[in-house]
Amino acid sequence: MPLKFRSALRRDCIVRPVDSLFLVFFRPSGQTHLLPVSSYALLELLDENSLSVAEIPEALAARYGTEPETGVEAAVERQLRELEAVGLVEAVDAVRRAGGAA
Amino acid sequence: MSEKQNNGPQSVSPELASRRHLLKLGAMAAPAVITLAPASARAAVSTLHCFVPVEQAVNEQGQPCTGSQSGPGNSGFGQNQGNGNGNGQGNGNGQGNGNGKGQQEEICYGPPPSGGFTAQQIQNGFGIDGISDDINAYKAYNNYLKSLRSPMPGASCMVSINMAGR
Amino acid sequence: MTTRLLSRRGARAMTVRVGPVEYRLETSLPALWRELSALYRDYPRNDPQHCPEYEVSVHPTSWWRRFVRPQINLRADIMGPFAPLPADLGQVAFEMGMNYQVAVGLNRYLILHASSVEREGECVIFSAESGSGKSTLAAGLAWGGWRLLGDEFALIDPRSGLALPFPRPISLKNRSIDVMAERAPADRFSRRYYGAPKGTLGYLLPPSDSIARMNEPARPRCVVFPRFEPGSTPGILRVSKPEAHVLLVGSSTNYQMLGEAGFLAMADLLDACPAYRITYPSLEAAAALVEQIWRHSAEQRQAQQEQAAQKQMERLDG
Repeated sequence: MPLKFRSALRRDCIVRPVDSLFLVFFRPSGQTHLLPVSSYALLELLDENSLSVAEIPEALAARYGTEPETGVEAAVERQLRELEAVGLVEAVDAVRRAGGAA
Repeated sequence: MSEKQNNGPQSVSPELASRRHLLKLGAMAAPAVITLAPASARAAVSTLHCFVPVEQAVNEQGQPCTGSQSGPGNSGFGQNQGNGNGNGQGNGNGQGNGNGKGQQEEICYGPPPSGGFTAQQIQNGFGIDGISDDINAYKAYNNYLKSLRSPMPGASCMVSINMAGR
Repeated sequence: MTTRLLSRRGARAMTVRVGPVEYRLETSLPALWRELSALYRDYPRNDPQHCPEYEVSVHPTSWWRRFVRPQINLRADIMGPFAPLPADLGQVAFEMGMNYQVAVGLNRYLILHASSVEREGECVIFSAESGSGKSTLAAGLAWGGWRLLGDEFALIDPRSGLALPFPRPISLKNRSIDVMAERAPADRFSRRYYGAPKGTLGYLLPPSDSIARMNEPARPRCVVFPRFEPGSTPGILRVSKPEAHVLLVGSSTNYQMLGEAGFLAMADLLDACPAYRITYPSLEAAAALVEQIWRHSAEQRQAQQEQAAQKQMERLDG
């Protein structure tokens, strides 16, 4: 089962848009981050909604009404890892999730 | 835990909806997230802070201009009043100033009053908060910037801007 | 009102209020007591209604250090990396100690390493590193018609967004003292302190008006990142909001400590205030650039308000 990622944007973050970027205060760490549009879109897409790297480009396009991008999986993975490093995104163990853990 | 499929534009925040056109997963060379921190951690964004001096006038090819031209323009606010867009971002390029015809009938673009461009302006490229919002001045300065080689001042700044993915 | 025991025999103490901060300053050195009293003569002192927030005291390191290569220790409620100093730098020790209490301890406000000046209820905030010229710039503007809010720290109230005055004596270094000697009356200067950690120091009192109005806050209008560069061509550049955030968070001594409140205070501040960089070769040039920015930032706010109103109308129509 592919790894899935999710965020808790509404629960854990305060957001203020600034020009073409987003300032995000992450309550659990108390840190402030600056995110470009695509990183922030990932947070919004993944808010209480687990998706794998392969599923993201199409889900993003469907949600935001843009053209789905192809060949961007490496870029998506890199962005997710960076977001994961600061806690904004977490990897969900798909197997355990399917086992019924809440 | 059930999965919610958040499809459709209704679940998009207005802030993101208005910036939809900037959404490009594949185009990112820059960091996905920058963490703001006290002074010691600011080195991570040092690329944004270097400065490329432009001390002489340049022609359309970006070469030093031999012709006569008016001196460095004013700081730009007096001149740029009419150029302000909704954000009114004036910069110090003295747009419209410092231009003049040289002896060989070449057009010279005067050095910006700030003495050059910040890395951020160069990254912004063409536009009022970039190198210039005059397409001809932009091309002239851009050609100059592309021509910089070590040990010319600003060359290493250009290298780091290019590495960051201009 | 509690009576405080003086910590040393022969010690004398005063309480001094600067803006929202009240200090209790104590020393057992008579010469230093005289200097301290002279420097703070215009400031509200010894008000029995108030209880001081911070204590700072300067005493000889040991009894024989009163006489042999006199040396003093700085003691304060919040102790920093204070090394003993020569006794004739006692006033410098007080100033450093007072700064340290605020930088590290004052968490009612968002604290920026910045100077600021006020006009007509609004202020410019000059954010820069120590030694960059922000104090000299503040001094030049304060003695050039502006009201000084502070030369070292800008205090932003997270609830109101207002900047609170903290108009301590302005610390000037080396050549800046000479520069200001031409612009301010001689009796507003302390003596010079040689051999201080950053060179020669001097303290310049702001105009009495700045001290008298230390309880009047101001609405921030714009943020400026100044750079003094001899021989440079004066210039102004807009700084983008994201970059301003990075720079101001980097300049704050307590942003992290304030958590969510700090985040919101900073976001509100930079939402309201356009940011600029200036490069200037002289105080006169700087003053002229500040005037331009003062006008431009008002136009910016006008444009921003019109845009916001426009968006509001579109939302209602749509």
